[in-house]
Amino acid sequence: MIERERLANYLDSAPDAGLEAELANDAQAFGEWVAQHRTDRLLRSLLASQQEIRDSILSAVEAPSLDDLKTRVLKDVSFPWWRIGWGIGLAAALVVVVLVLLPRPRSTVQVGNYTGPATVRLADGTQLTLHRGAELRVESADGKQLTLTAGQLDATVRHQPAGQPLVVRTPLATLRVLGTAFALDTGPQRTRLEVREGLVRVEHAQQDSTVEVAAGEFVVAAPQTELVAGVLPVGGRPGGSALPTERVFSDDSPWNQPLGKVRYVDIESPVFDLAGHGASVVPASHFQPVWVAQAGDPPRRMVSRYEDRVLETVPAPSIGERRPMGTLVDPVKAVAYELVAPEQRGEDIEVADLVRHDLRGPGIPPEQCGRLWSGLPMIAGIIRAGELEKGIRHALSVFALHAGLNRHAGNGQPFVWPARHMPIDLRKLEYMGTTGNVCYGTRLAIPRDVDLSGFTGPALAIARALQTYGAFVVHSYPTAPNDGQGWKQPHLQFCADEPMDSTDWQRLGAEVSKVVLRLKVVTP
Amino acid sequence: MDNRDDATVVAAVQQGDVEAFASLLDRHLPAIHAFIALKLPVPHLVDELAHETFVFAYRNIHQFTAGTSLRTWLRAIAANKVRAEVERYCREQSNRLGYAEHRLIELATAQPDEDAEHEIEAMRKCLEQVPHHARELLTLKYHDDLSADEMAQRLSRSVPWVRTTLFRIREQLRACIEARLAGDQP
Repeated sequence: MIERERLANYLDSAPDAGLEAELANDAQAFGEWVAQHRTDRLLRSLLASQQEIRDSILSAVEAPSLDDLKTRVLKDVSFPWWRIGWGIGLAAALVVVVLVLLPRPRSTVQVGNYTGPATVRLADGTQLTLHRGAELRVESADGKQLTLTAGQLDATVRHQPAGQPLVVRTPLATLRVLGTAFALDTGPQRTRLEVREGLVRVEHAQQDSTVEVAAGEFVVAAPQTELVAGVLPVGGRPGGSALPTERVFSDDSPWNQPLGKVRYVDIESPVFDLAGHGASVVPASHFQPVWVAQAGDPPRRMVSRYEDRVLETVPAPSIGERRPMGTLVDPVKAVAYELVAPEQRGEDIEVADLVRHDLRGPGIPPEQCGRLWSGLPMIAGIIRAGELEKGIRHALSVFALHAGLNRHAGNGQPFVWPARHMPIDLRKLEYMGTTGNVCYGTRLAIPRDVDLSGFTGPALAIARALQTYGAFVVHSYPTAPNDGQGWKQPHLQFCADEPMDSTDWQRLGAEVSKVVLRLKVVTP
Repeated sequence: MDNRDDATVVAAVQQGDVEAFASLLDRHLPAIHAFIALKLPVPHLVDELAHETFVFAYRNIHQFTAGTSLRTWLRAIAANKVRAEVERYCREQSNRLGYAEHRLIELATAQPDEDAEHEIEAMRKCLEQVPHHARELLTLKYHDDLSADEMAQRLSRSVPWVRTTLFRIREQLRACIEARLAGDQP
């Protein structure tokens, strides 16, 4: 018998994965649920205000003329100055807001690169928010044909009559919308759509590829490839963060490539003592938190602590007190910003330095170095939220003891591909060893033929990832002084984007210490 | 307030009086919206179909037969749109709908249109009898669209209290509706 309180919670949108199955086998509870659901729908309809839908019906039947529409669109372009008030004084010279009316029949709205968003309201109540650098053309008399040639657009589209959808074109895709909310980001090489409500039909402009994107899903259009759709990451959790659970970086990135035909050799290091010291798994919030920008987060300036200049302006939550490192993810732009010593300063975020990683790229910075001593991105191999339960589909990052690494292992260098460079502080090299086969960029993995059946739960998830993808050595840490209490410093360290109180970290570390005993060094 | 009867207002709309249509909208939107909500229990589609129903009615108002019921004509338009939408929605969501949602839609579409109309009317009457404290809760939930957390905060109660109380009120309303439909209440 299903408890009433559980049904009440479920009706109030509290997730309950098991309840659906139970309802199928409990006729009485199912009848109760149906009755509650019907009553709920009726109440919602009879008690909620219907002013919006009334207005939208009247707007649709009134059918404005082209001139009327243009007048309304252009008159209603409004700029929320309060959001950019911080920049008006100092940055006045930089602020460029351009509103251009091209010769008929096209009207174009452009937003400068250094200003806040602009809002366009169409005659039927549809609201379009254009962000920095965006350019939107109104193409048709009824305002239902739009072209976003560049930049980001957030849209809340009023209900459109059947057969008369709002059409938004980009250089790479055509969207047909019947009433929904979505975010669109476009450039010459990519269009990305995220749907928050309703359903959007998307056609690729160059390929025979069409998908329907529902609420909570996204699609990406790129040249010479079919549309790629996926599920959006779950929103941020209070007091923590949530990395996108979809894959970050491209499918051919080394981070996303399963191990193919490779050879395994034993780990050689005079220092590593995995049997005696084992490994640990630490929560990301402990020393390299990840913040994921959510819809509605204000644009914040990333200000250099030492150069008195703005490095980037990015939508971001408040990040609080100073941390040694952190990563801010902008899922709409698919960019991760590695922040060095970030700290909230009023509305701004002050950083010692900032490195930008394109999450659609290979995950190996081509020009600029990451802040880890391997040069690889911090977030690439973090165990993402939920993956300890659902499984890990990418390579892991692992930190290792300085002294366990060989500074000559990479043909005389302290790194091998895909690592990019050596520690910026060359004194760190002195702490590294001079023998063995492990250095920055070394991939450690569990050979395919190793039986993992002795492991369960999160430890098994990590073991499977190490067997399928392996782990790259991305960073190292110094030997800790003996505390005299018998504590043994782990010689390898993994990182998971899970809240501090979500996991028994000590127990997981003990389990993973058994897993790492199976690790070998991968050689091509 | 437009005191003219439906037939007179429809005639005005047929003559091109757009403003008269607003009057028809005020009279019939709530009932048609509720009808769609009962027949297609997918919240984000209800507004959309209500919109489509009335825009279709406006564009085809010349087809309305004088002397018949405008409400019935609107309900027939809505029912046709609901049928098409249910078919499309179930096809698209075939792999996503759970057992309960699927059955809910089946049951909703199987209900005769006239029964839905009676159920809505019964609900209106039952709502008039709801005690003040229950009405307050319903208003916060369905008119002000507050979450259970927000309601709990506003009322200085716990979230479970809010959820179970709403559950109980809905249960009482359902019993009232069933009694009215069975003819046990005037």
